[in-house]
Amino acid sequence: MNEVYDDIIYELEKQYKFKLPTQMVLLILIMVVMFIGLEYAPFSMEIKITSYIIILSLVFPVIVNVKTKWQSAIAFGLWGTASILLIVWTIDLVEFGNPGAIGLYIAFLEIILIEFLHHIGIEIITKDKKGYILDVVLTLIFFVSISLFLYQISWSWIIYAGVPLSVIFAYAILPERKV
Amino acid sequence: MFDVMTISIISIIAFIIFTIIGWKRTDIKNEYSAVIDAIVEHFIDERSFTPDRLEKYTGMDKNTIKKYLDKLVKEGVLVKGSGAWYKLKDPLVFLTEKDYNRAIRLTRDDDILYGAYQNPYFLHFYFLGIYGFFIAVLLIIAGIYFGLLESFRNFLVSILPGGESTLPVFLLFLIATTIILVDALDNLIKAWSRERYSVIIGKLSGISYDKSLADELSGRIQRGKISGVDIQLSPLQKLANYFIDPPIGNVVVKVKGQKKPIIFKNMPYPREMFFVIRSIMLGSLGWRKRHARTLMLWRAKGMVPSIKA
Repeated sequence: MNEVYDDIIYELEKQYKFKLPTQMVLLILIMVVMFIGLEYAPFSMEIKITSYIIILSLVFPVIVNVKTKWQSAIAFGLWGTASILLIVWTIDLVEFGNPGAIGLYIAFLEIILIEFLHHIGIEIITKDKKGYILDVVLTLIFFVSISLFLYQISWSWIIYAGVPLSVIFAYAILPERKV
Repeated sequence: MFDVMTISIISIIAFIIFTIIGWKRTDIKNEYSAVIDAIVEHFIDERSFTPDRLEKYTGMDKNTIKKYLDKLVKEGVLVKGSGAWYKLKDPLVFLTEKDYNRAIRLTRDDDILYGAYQNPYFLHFYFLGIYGFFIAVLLIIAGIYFGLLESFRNFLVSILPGGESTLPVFLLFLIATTIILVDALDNLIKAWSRERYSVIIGKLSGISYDKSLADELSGRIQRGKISGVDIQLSPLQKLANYFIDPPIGNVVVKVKGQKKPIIFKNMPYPREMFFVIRSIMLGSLGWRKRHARTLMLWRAKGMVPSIKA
């Protein structure tokens, strides 16, 4: 009767996913489509390269869905590259004489980088004391950042918008149960 | 923005550095691997064990062992008792600590072979709609930025402190805020719906499941009453399984004397659930011991190739 369970193969997820060569072919196809799409897009070459890497870093962990060391390393490598390029790309949009705009930009980066990390399967917030402290610290940074902007509208907006958004932020970055 | 050459150089250097960091961060320490090996080799069939007993097999000091045991508790591989003992959880048990203890209590200390939550709303149109909301916001923001929604753009410029100069960074912030709103909503719906519908498969007790939100595993299918079991994967589930974790599917259990089968919706690892139900029907559990180490490593999120055999 035990032969029934021989079917439980070593990596459980493998049974549900495409085989690795198929995943690679799919990734290459998507990369080609992205290349053609961006080739004809009315953007500068710098923006095309940046967009290409950002999209690739989003697509890679979804398409190449195997739990191996190299997959994890490449996903992290793409995350780091995309994050740096995103900062290089968007920093020009910030008016540095305006504290409100700086606050909004910091809040934007905080959300994007954390959610991006979450996307590649890395949780910087863990469900323990250390994780909760980090959650509070990140939320405080977020709150102060958006308050810099909201203060320019009115004090009351810090309460009406700043507090609820910070609570949502704190909840959203908590790690969710995967199963 | 920098020129093409600088962007390319930055990309290559950043990719190399971050890939090395990524490679290093997935390293599993030999000590961690040794603790896992000792548990699997010596305590797989035991109801509980203490760090003292592991000390003998690993040669490590008690504090180091405790550190790795606590890590395994966090990963859901072990359960920590009120004393200094630890117990190996079955690798296919995905319940919260509270629900796992409830399952043990209600099945009268049965060996829980599989435990997870149905996710009735997952892949439903209205659940996927929250992602549609994000796409809609993204399109609106693109419309504002590229001047396609002129009146909306003018309205924002008129109310924003800093006016036109703050608009681009405000739009970026709006995208980010929508992401956290969608993420928080997604977490909330999943937590609310999922952790209310437990499905437990016990070695002797058979299948126990929650019938409603406030239920206490009142649904019961005894081992001998199961006449058949089947996996149903819709095209959408199959497609989603290629790209998302965990894989999901419906598991259909036919019960003797009942015309309608019981369908467990969107169960994680449906194939494994199917095998576990087959195993309690046939009374054979040898696979657990044979695959224990691999399953345990998988649960401990270990990168299997990096573990020394």
